[in-house]
Amino acid sequence: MDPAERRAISTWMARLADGDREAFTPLFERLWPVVRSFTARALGHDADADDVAQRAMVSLFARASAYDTHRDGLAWALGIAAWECRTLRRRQQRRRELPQDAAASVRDDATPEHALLEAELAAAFCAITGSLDAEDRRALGLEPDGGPASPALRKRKQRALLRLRAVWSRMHGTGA
Amino acid sequence: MAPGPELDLARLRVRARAAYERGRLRAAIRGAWPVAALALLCLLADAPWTVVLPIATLHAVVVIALVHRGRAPARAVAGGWLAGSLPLLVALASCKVPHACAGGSCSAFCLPACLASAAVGAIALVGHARRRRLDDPASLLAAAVIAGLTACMGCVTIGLASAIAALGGIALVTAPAVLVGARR
Repeated sequence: MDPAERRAISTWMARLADGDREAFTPLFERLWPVVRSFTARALGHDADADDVAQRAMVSLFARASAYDTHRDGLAWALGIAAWECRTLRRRQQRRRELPQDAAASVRDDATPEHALLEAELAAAFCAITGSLDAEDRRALGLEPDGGPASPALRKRKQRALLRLRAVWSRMHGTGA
Repeated sequence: MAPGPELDLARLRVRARAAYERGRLRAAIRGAWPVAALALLCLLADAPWTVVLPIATLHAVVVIALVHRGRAPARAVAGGWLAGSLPLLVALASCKVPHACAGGSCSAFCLPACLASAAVGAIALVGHARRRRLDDPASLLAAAVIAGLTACMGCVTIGLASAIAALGGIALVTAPAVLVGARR
């Protein structure tokens, strides 16, 4: 931007700060393309740049009466636009962090449920294995058995597993 | 990079203009704090709140309207406060001074004090306006109104006559300046 245009922005800005409403339209028309291209360069995304440039323009005009007439108007306007870009980036960063947190909270929330399910499963298992006789329980390794593994024991284990599956199906309607 | 097709610049302009007016109004409300300070000063000087608060409210509304409007009348507000604070302080001090009584007759200082201090304040106001090139009738009138309201806040504590004297003193000096400015 050439220095004359820059000075013109400062002049219009000073007039608007003083309460001259006639300065609004020329200032808006000069600032909009500059702010829009600044946000586009800063964010590199069209939709975000539009959104942020609009927010920056509204914010800029809301603070126009506080403009210090000794300052450069363009630098002041771009300072507000830069702040809006930073705000958007922070918001996006927070949004990216949120799903991880949400996942963590889901995991944390799921733990008691999971533990409850496991406890229910263990209780069901105990109830079923409790219905088996001592020989079957010993064959399934649920009770200590000091003897070495033998073909007879393997056969007994197989039969015990079949009975366990049958009891499970009878009680819960699904295969174990 | 071109703006998106969905961007409505006319709507954005309206939003920006509304934000500008809201910002000015907020700044004007913040800028009216001396009115609250003056009202507090009057109340601390035992002025009746039933008199001070309505005048302070009117004073605040006028200040907010002038500062929100902006330009020369807004810049004249500070001069009005400065000019009006002299009769205000003189009036508040006069309340504390007993009447001079001798030989069965009493003379009150408050009324002439209000008139004289208001005239001095108004002379200062016209000088201030000329220095700051606020010689257009609108800003001089705005400054005179603010000075009158400021003076009134102190002078009504000693009576309506004192308030009228303060306003008269300000009008006496600023009216010619306003008329001269209007003829130019």
